[in-house]
Amino acid sequence: MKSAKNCYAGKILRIDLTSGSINSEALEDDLVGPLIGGRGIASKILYDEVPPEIEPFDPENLLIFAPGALHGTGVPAASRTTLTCRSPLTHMHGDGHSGAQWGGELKRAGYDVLVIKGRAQKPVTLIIDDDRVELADADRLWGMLTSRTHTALRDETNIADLQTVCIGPAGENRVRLSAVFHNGADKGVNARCGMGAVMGAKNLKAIATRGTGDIGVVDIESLKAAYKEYVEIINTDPHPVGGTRYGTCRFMYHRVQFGIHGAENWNYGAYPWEKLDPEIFRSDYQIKAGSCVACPIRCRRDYRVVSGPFAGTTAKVEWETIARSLTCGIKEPEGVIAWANICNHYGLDIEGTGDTVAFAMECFENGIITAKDTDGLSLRFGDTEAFLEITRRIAMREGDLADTLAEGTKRAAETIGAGSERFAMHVKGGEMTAGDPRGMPVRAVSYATSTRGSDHLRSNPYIEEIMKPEEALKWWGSEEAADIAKGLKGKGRMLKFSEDLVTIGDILGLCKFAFYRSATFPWLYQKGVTLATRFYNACSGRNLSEEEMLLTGERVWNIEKAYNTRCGASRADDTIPQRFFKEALKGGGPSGGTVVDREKFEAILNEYYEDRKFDPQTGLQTRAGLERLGLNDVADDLAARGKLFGN
Amino acid sequence: MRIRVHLYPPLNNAAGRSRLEVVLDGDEDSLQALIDKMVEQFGDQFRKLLYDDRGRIVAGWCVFINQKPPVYFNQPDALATLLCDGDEISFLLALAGG
Repeated sequence: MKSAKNCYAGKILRIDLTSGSINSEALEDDLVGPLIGGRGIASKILYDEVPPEIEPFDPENLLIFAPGALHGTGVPAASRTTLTCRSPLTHMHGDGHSGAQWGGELKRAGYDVLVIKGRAQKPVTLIIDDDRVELADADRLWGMLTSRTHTALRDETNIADLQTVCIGPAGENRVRLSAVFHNGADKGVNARCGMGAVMGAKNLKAIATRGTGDIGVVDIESLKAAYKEYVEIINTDPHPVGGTRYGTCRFMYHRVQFGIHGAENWNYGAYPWEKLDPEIFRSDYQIKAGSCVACPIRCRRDYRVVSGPFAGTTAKVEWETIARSLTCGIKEPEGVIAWANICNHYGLDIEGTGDTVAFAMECFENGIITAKDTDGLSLRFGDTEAFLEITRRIAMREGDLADTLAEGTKRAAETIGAGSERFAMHVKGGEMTAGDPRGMPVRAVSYATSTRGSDHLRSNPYIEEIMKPEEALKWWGSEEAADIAKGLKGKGRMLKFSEDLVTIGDILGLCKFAFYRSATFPWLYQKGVTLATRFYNACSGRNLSEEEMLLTGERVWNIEKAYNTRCGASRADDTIPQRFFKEALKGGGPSGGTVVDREKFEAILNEYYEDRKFDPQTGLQTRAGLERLGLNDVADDLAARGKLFGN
Repeated sequence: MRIRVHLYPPLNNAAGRSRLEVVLDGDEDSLQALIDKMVEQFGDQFRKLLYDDRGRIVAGWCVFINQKPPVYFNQPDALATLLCDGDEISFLLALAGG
């Protein structure tokens, strides 16, 4: 039996904080058709409405909240909401993706997209309670931690299941490493690219939302059939099991065995990790195993310190929390949990903040920063007290050094100078994430080509680990693509595919771990393309092919690439920190002594550009490549700006 | 010969332990012999985690021998890799991305 209502609410809500105007407009087919939802629609709105003349903290910069098209439908792990703006960290396209209920609540209130521009004269909260949309004074909330902000709004409205997004003090202080938090400190986070600082610059403390409407599914039976196949795969695929048992902390084992920790500011591949064993976190610290909306894998973990100076401290901890702690030389769970607590409550992105602190630590170890600069903090790798205190100071911009670090690694290095630039580990201004790429050239290239600065979730080059040679031959034209150590041919094509692939997840609101990671390529494709398309068709009533779904991912990627080009990026920016090319990975282990081979890096990048229809010399897009995707308007805009190859 | 084995999730759950020692009969046994021995010892649940429904090792598994760069089961001759007495072997589901 078919229902008339589909998964779209059908409206965009627009708020101008300067004038106080509140308007809604129809979500037009010219956005939904080629871009579907979530990151797709948000990226196009940013491209169309925020040209490079608008600086990130300019009131005219937009904050675009866009739940994935399947958010709220009951499709498994369809929980992601994109937040997009021009990033104050990279000065390019910026977005962050959160798994939480708020996006579904926005849709139930009647809106697929929320676009905020302008700057309020004083702190405000946006309240969306179904049809009632209003701005309320937030003076009393300004300065509050994320957790208290959520609680205060919930108590004031007396709505127990109120969904909120908010910033903490870091966002208020325009810390370029600040994030936007959902339902307080320990739920979802739009983490990357400094979103919290843009929200702070707009004097927008929070958005409180309740929606009581329905989100439709056109073809329930087709959704059920796809759901059944999805469950069959995750019951067979060994990949989700570790996530269910340990949460994302599971990735520790991968880093240990490959020896790619990137500890002490990306110097050490092998590193003392034993006290951070996921089994220890599970047995000695775990207080809650939870999930995002509708996710059967349940990889969220809350931990509590039970003894010592941080006893009683709790926090949601992700693998990246542990990884970035190691980047700062922290080797004990107590320090990791206490640090996560500070970042989550003050409203900081753990990834950017961790790398920035690690940068400062390496400067301190080398005498570029001294105890005079730190007001007496011993900012050495592994010093937990200094680690926690400098993080708090960054959130509050307390003191000259913290104020400098609050600008992010790239700007901090430019300010500090004295050779510190060689310790600044970032791509396009976005700090490094995940594992060390030395010895794995396609991963190095994936960090370089990401459209929001260094990022491991912008693609899935890890599929080189799961493809059989015959599959690689069929898909990328060479068996070499399945060989991590020696392979070269086909890697660029594989990377391009994997970028388009995971973009589908952000468009639909599907979790990367639930849909875009598997132990075999057939399972990965079945979940990430075949079932994702079937889920979307069942919920929307459309009839997209798998090829059209992948093409949508490619279209969105090209919009973001064009945005960055328009902001001044070129092939020279598609690179990684020099340390990875020049300095051998320390610490021994399977990857010890390796560097990223520059020739391989460039060869993969060339193949990638060719497959993307970019000019390999300049990295510029071509008219033919953009028009193939229906992006004629983007091609015209780039041409007018002298940023299109051949024009 | 005696092989020291380290099993990562979810194989360790199926085996009920993370570390074990496996004794193989021959002097030049292969990785296949080691896997056969463990499947025999730990049963069907263990086998289902390692093999797909066509009887091939799931490609995402990889093996580290004495902490050297891994042997991937997506490579054709991986199972024929010869082991030596005293080798330390780790089984890891390689796909990363956290």
